[in-house]
Amino acid sequence: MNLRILVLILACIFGSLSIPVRAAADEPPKTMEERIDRLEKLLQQTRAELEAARAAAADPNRLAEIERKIEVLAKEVEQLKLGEAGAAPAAQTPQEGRYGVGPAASKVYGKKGVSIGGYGEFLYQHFDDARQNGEPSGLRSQVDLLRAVLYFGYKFDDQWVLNTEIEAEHAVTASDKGGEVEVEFAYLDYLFSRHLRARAGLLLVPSGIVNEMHEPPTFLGAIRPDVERFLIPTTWRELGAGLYGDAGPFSYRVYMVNGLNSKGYTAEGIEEGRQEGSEALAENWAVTARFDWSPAPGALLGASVFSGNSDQGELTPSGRSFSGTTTLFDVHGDWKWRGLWLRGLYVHTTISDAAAINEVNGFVGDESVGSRQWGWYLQGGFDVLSLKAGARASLIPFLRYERYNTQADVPAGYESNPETDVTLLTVGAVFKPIEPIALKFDWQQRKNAASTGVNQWNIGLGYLF
Amino acid sequence: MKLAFPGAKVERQSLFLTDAEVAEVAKLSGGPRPSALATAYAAMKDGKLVGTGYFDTHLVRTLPETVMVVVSPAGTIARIEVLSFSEPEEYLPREHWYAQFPGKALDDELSVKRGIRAVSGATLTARATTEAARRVLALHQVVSRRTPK
Repeated sequence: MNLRILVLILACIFGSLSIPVRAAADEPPKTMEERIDRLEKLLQQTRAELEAARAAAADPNRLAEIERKIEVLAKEVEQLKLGEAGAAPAAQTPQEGRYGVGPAASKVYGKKGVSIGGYGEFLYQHFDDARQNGEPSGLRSQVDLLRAVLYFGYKFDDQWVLNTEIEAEHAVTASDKGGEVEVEFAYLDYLFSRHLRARAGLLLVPSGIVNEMHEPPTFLGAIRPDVERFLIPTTWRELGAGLYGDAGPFSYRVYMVNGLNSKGYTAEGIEEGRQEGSEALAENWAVTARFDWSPAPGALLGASVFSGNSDQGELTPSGRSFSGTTTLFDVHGDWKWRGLWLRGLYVHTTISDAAAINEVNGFVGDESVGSRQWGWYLQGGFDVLSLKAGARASLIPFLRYERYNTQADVPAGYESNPETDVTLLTVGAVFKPIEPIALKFDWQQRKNAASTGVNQWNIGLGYLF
Repeated sequence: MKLAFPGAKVERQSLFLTDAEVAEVAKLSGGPRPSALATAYAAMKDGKLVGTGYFDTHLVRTLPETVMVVVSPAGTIARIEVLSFSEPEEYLPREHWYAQFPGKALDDELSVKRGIRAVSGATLTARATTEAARRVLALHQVVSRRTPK
């Protein structure tokens, strides 16, 4: 039933009961919520009037008719509130009777249209004046709009879904500024079923925890863990296609994506080897896969692998070909129980032909690419406000300990730089007045085997919607 | 409701809450004031009430979700079904997450900080669904107190 007709019927009812509705009808409602709200108020008034008419012993037939109309209108209001869920015919519901979301799954994804979201984070960093060894650090405090991201999704129909994220880093992109505008991901999904879906486009590589789940309120610390910045170079995305899905407590992803480009590799890791969908060289392809198990709500255990060549057709200065096979493996766990939140991750990377890559990149001595790299971290936090019944806010003191080495092994003829053997301790707290907003404060003790580490403290403000 | 209670007869009832009842639901649920109009679906079998279903539509992030919450005759949650979810499905918890709700009553444990475990990556949905469950239980409690006319 059209809303205008509804309002008209209500107006007729009110007219017959001599209720002034002119004021409500003068300004047409602008949104669906306004319309529903107005209809609900009119219904309440009608019921009150009905009670009054009853008290005045009005004609019983007329009272019954008004009651019937009220019921019809109440159903219509309910239908408007429920939207598509209410409109779906019962016959569409699968007949298998089981608990959980399953039986209604055919309707869950029925909604079409645009989905908008986003996240952002501001970061203040203050560095110690002195390094570990007492030498001046030379680092100055900095404040930055680290990233502001807008998410747009579009559901074409029950099977085809588009997801995109557009990111601005460091606020300004100009010749004298270091900012960047990037497409963080953009892919099309085809949903065969919850167990089997296809995905193609600019994809997030399914490694570690933070790469796919990087909105600031979803991780502790003003800065992402170093291990998930340098060993797993978040936010890591490449062009490709694959399959994903889940069944019960298990989920998987298997993608084929363009390979890394070893021309970007450094002693600090593979981060600059990402091609990020920007005129990416596609001489090499990589396979990446992930498997997760959620043994109980709030608990996650999983592993991922990424493997592919990285030469991208490049030859060494002496004209020799090489493969630069890069294989990254990680295991990870995340557990939330009441106020407790534990997380841990281990990642191991091997790179073949590191000597050839060094030749191509002109690296000598301790500038070598690490032929073997590893890193891990353990993190624990506790929401102290979970002890207070009914608290919406969260206050999570936490501690994170990280160890990593991006030059655990280097090829013969090269040496490791002890600065790449890092121990990082982060201690701080995250305050969330509401779940999507996080105010973060922490202190980081950064040590390395060369004793040149610099401690720092950070303030972060993050949001998502 | 027919899926939840095979063979039961389902009776629909429009509920018009008074201002005092709206305030009471808000207080009991610990959330905002709900709509004054609600609908209850009472499932009757062999002349006995076997459960009451309510629909709750709420925003998750920027788009709505509609859930059906079935309340047992004892006033605890019997079942939760997601009927419509407009956000990207990445934000939808897996099936077994919803299995935490049956048997839960309207108390401090019905919270993602306590008896309901949150889901990394779907925190907002977990919270919105838990708040909907609290809202429905509060509504059921308030209307159950009404003196039959």
